[in-house]
Amino acid sequence: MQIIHSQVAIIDKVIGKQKCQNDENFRLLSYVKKLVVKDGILLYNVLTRCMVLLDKNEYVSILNIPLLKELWFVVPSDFQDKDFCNQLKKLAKLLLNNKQVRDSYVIFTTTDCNAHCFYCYERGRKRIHMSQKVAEDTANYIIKKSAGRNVYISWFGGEPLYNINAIDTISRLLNSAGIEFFSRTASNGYLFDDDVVNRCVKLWHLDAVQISLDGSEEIYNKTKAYIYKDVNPFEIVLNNIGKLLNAGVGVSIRLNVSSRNQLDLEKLVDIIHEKFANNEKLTIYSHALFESTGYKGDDTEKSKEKNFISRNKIRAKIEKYGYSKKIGIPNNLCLNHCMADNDSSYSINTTGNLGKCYLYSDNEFCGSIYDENINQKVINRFKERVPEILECEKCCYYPDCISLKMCGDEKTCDKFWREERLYKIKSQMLGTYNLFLNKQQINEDENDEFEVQC
Amino acid sequence: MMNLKYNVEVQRVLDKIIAVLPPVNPGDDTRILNLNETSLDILNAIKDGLTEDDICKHIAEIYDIDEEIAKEDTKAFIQDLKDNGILE
Repeated sequence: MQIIHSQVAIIDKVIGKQKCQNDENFRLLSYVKKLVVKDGILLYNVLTRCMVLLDKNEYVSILNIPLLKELWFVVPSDFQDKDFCNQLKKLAKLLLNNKQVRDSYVIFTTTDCNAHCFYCYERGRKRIHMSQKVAEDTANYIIKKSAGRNVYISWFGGEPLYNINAIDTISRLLNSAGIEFFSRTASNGYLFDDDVVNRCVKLWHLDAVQISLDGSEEIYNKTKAYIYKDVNPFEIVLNNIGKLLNAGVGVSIRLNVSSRNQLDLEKLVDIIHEKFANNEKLTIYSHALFESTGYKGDDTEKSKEKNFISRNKIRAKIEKYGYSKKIGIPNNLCLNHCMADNDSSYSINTTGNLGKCYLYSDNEFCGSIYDENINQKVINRFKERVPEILECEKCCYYPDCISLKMCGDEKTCDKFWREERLYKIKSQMLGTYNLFLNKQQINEDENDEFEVQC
Repeated sequence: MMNLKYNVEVQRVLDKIIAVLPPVNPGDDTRILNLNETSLDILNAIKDGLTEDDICKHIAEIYDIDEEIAKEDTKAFIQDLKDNGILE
């Protein structure tokens, strides 16, 4: 048996090895996932983050391997898995609480946009630019709160680049104050011309951009409905993606899958591959349009199933071309869902109000950059979780599952959601395992070299 | 009267009782203290504002032990808290 990924430090340092009596009856912990690979069987403990590789003989006598008991893979039959999980996560949160600092911001530079997508969750909201004064005050607020620590910024909108002046102002002031920061943005990609890409790197410290594409040329241009006339936005955006990649900025293309574009998106993956051929800075992923967009048009069981099947086909193509995001097993327990239940993250809207979620740009504020007080009631409301259901009791994904009441559609636990979780966990297992194999390969190569030299 | 300098949070994980203490200096790691049932009762009694003598009596009563033994346990744990800079 080989340990491919170690368990989280908190278990080693605080809880230690499991001590069992040999006369007990044993079973696998509910959170252990199995995956057959070429060299044997991978076992991943979703709670502790430990992953081991067993050969077939070991797998047959899995419940009798002492190390698997010590590492919490195998537990007594009356073990309370969910209590153990919740207790461990509460402890980890307590240990973290004393270290939490305010260092991550989603900044709404504008709620206006140069596109008019039919599914936009911000439709009907006021379109406001962040003023020069609010941008300056935002920068000063971040400088004051950072206390010399690194800061992470996500430029958000509307289309964040539609108010490029706010991004320039905030970045310039942070740079002048000597604040170490890096930024990301979610954009439609239309406004990244040569000058802007240059500022992305030098002024904004932009390391990644998420750009949504809804289809190939015809469908894309129709869906986005840009305000510009007599241009081909699809071509412009693809060229801009190329400019960003050439400048060393990572681009993550999000394919919005709906019933209108399922087949076309497969074609789009081919087009992207033809244009950018295995650029290492480029990743592609698919996203069901009914998730987190406020668009309810496809929100039926049948269309969800159709969408899920389509996404699998698109995903297979993305994997084939090698554009999947490389993910591995995390090194920490899952303690929060997103910025909404993370005390170190806040959003700042166009008028300087503080919020807890990008979906709420014009209400549910918990404070302001002009006021030291934080409304704890709002903070707590964003942390409220969806009540557990019967399936949670023995669910393999329970340690990584946090569902928030304020979170719209994502709170629904159905077979499609569970399939998504399974895909993610398998990707994490394979990602870590491949990394392990590559390291082994490097070590073997180094040994070969050494032998030759001798 | 004894006062805790900080809010000491306690979490049980299976049969372990762990007290989480704030770091000595800002930016340092959080500290932990492993407790047993008796020391948890003493800690809770301190939080409730009991004097050292009252805590000894309380411990002797709930564990049905001699007050002298309770005094030893209480004094040892209180010293532990002082050594960790938690008790004023």
